[in-house]
Amino acid sequence: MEKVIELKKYKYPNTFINPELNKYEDIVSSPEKLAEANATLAKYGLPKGWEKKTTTQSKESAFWLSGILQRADAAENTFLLISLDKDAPTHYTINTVPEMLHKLVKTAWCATIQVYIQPQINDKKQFEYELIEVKMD
Amino acid sequence: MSYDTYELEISDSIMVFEFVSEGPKGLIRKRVHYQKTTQVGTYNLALGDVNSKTNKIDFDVITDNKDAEKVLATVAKTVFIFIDNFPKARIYAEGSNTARTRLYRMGISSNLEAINKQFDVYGLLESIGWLPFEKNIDYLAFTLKLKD
Repeated sequence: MEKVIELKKYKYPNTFINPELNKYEDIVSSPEKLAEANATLAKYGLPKGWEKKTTTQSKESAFWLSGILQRADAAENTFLLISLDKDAPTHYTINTVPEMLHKLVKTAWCATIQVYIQPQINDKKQFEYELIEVKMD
Repeated sequence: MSYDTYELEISDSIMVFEFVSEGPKGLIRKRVHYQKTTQVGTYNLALGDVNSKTNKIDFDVITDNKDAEKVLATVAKTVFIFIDNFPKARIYAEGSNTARTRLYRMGISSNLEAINKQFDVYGLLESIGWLPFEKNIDYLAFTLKLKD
């Protein structure tokens, strides 16, 4: 295959325009895979923007978090993603929150905790989350 | 992010990329194709081996050419070039199998700090929906988009 133009414009070395590849542009490489992707996108939509909240909390954080959890508990289909260790996030459902709180109180006064709350799903295609990042010093 | 990458050939409209993977299994031509989805502005990243007889992409083959890191870096390079040309585009990637999804996850995870500076990256959990990408979570699919 002939390499015609080097893409110097983009400052990417070893990158060339090859018009031979143009013939594949309008061919769907795998209709099944693309259909799967379209189905997934139709089911879940696209990610919504997140409002990131960062709060520095001390030992009272467990209680503060407790408040959030109570609020979350009031909603249906609550899901929490809580990370005591940023490299080992663990998923908790509302039923396992007491386990998380116990772990929190016992282990971490110096951890970053991220709480992802899915308060309610009215329209199942519409997912809304709130991200709260807590730094415990 | 400065990894060794393969030489890339690109179609005129910057939608199709090809490169040749080199390893113990020999020379294997790979194609990356950004395809429009039904969501406006969202492109599906399709990666696979080019079948030398049919010239079509084989998505399900597991090559194991011992060059996963270099392949990933090359695919990442296609992402940057694609986004340079379509800065408003959102890229959607879903592995054709568990191994490939893990490969994508590894690629994002190992460069997450650098990627997060430029892109909004999300992972899809089946029972939940889209969440900001976190390491060590098995997502079904990923999207990324230049930060506004």
